[in-house]
Amino acid sequence: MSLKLANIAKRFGAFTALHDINLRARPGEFLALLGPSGSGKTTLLRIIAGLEFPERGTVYYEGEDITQLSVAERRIGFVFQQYALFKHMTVAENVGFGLSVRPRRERPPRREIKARAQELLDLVQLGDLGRRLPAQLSGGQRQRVALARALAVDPKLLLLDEPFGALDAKVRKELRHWLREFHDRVGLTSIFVTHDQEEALEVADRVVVMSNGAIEQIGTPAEVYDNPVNAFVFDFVGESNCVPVVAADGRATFRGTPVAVDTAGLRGAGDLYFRPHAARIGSEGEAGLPATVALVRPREGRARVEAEIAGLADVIELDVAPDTAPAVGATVTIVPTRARLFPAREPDEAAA
Amino acid sequence: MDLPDISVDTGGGRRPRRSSFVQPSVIPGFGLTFGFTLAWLCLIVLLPLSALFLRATGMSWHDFLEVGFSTRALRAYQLSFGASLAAGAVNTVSGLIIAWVLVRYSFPGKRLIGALVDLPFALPTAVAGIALTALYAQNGWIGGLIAPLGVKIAFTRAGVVIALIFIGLPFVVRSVEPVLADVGADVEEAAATLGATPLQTFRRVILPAIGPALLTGFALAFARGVGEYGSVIFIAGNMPYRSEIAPLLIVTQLEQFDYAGATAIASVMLVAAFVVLLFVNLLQRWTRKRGVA
Amino acid sequence: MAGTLAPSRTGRVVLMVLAFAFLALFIVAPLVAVFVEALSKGIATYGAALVEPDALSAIKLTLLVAAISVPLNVLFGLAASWAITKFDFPAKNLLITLIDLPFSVSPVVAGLIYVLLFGAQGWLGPWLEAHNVQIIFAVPGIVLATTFITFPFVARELIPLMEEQGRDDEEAAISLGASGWQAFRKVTLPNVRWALLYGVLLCNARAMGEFGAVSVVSGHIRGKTNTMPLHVEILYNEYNFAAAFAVASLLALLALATLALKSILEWRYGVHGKGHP
Repeated sequence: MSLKLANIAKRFGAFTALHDINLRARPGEFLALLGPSGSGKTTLLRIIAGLEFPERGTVYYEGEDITQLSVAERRIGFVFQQYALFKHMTVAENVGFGLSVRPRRERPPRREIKARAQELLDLVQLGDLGRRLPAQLSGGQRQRVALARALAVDPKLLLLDEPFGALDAKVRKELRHWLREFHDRVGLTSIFVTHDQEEALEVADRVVVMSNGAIEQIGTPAEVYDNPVNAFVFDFVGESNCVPVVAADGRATFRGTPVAVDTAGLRGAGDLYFRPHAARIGSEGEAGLPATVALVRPREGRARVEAEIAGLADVIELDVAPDTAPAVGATVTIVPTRARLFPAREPDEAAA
Repeated sequence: MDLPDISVDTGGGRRPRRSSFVQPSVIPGFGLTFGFTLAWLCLIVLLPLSALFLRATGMSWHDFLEVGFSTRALRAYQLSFGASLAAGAVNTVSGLIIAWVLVRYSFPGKRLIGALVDLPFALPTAVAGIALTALYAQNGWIGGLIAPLGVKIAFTRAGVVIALIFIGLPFVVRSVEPVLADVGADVEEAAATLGATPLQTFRRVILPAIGPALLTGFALAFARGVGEYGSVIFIAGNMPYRSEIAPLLIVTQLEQFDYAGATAIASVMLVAAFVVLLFVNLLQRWTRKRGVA
Repeated sequence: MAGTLAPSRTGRVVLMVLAFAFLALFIVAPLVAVFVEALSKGIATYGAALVEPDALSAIKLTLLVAAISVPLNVLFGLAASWAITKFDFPAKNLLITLIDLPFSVSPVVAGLIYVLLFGAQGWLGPWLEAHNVQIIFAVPGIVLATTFITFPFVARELIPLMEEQGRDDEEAAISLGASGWQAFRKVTLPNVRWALLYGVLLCNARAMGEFGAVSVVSGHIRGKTNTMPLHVEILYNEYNFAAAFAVASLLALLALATLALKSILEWRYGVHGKGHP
């Protein structure tokens, strides 16, 4: 049940949607394609499904080249972002659709289709709603119907396009957990697309971070969060602060003040990245980033401090213990405890 | 990534590649439906229309001007375009009022009245023509009322305008209605809170918003009026040089087997229709752009 | 509240009176006039005018013409909207404009172009005559002209709706193993059925009521190439007003039925028709 993509490239007119994507999904794995809109993640998912065709490259399934196969031949289950439920069919008819359109010779009898639909509805815990129309369901229920419908054709691979995109915040959280459990129960190799890093980190076994049609990093949630390979991943996955520094001779300095970071041989202008929880307020006279506290507000048992550094447009955010929070207006020194240094991004790149 | 270096075969043997004309898609049936669409469009619309233009280009320039712009033809254009302009102007005002009443006020029977506005679309033009003639003839309900005042409508140019008002009304109402509903009473209230008088609100807030739709409705009604035949010929007097519309002149010349004359006049009208169509398209494109911005 | 336009009671009354008066004068009065004139010579005359052989043959021809051109335009509308909304190709907007073209052509011109093509003086006239095929002044010409006039009706109702509905449903059906035809029949068609019916309704009303284009190609042969609107004209020109209005009243009833069904589709099924040209 392994899926492999080799050198997948796709263009839409002059726009390159994907360049040279190489990726492998392990059997039973839950993979997230994470990236901002326009990063090519949905196009990639549709290419895996056979809904879109790559310009170059090959899709392998269990070592077999399936690039030529049609979407139906690939036996994938695809859950559309807006679910694409058939409005005029009942929930049970929607779920049974894939079986009812089989060629007459292969089509199971009506009763069997019904039973299979019921079985799948029970699986997604909607056993009582088979006779409703999609319009009579809540967003979360619709999503589960779409899932049951996709599973009805016994897919070898489950693909979900922004599975939580059309739901409101509370339902989204509940469904995330449910989907993760569901995946573990069914054991099907699954790939989902999301632009929400929290979602990707919480649900997936491994996260594929994409931007501008290329893969930036592939790793477990912990790897991409703790060891981002570049500034884009650092910035996109999780909260981050960015301060321009200069690196020379294995040392990085901000306006002459040294900051503790591994320069990894970098020289010249660089960007220092650190997460809000990976910095502290320094003691009197300690070397660090001089800043003025602009705002302090409580945040999940911690205090979130927003501080301004003179001449920098973005505020620095850090989390401290509530009892050690400084007063608004106070001048403090911020000491990053765990930071990463990346070469300075071009201005236009930083904007993107 | 632990991927072996795979040489990718991009040559033949890929999934059946359609021409680069259409983006590849998993949905089948493009060739069949597009081919049928194009064939049917050519057969029913484009070929016959080009036959007309080819006929016209077959005439010498001098002949074309002579028959296409003869005094009689000029008078007929004048009437068709003039009456369409007049009817369009009347409909712009009354259509706006009707749309306003339908969108902003609620009253019993509103749906019925809303549906009735479309009657001119559904009623065959010949039926409209004889009904209007019966009403406005000197012994008719309305004609009888105004005859003592010395006003004659049926069998005059005024009759043409009346028929075109009937035909064109729904165009304006249906164009303005959705836009007016979109502007919403809240925008008016916002203007009021900012100190605008009702007249200022209408002139500076409502009118600019519905202006393009109003103009579109006018242009559609105008275009329809210029080509209209059925509802007009009964109520117009059909006197050459006086109350003869351009489409009727085409029919008359056809009946006299004057194909050249009919072709020339039809070409002139067709070009005028395309100009209006182009105008409406540009107007709608411009409105859409503004709507997005 | 000084600035809002709505609350002024007098203004509201004035606008409503103006609107109702205009509608009464231009819409209701002509409609009433048709039925009053039709029954002016009594119910017996009315009935006689409808069952007289020429009237019956006109009714039959009108039904026949609609029965041919409406299905043709349905077929075309479905094909065109499938090609246009389910695929991406260049010059799509041009194609849509061309489909709408017949709406901006005068009915008389629409008739004329077929005369120029198929008439005795037309390009194909001699050839058709040699092979004993008559199109102009015969039923095929009437069908052609009617098809031209009603050409865009179904397509223009379907295209915006199918554009809005996107391709997800069809892709979902196909990813579940449906063939293109199954996706069309089981998913697309149910999705657009009310809009399709709406288009058919308007197409049919226009097909049965068309006058100008048909008048040019028909030749007005009584009992043979007269449709109902043409029959109305002939009776009217013969000063047989009661009979003319009697046949006209049938067409008016058709119009009223069309409006009623159209309104039901709008209210009950939320069809946002693009309506007529």
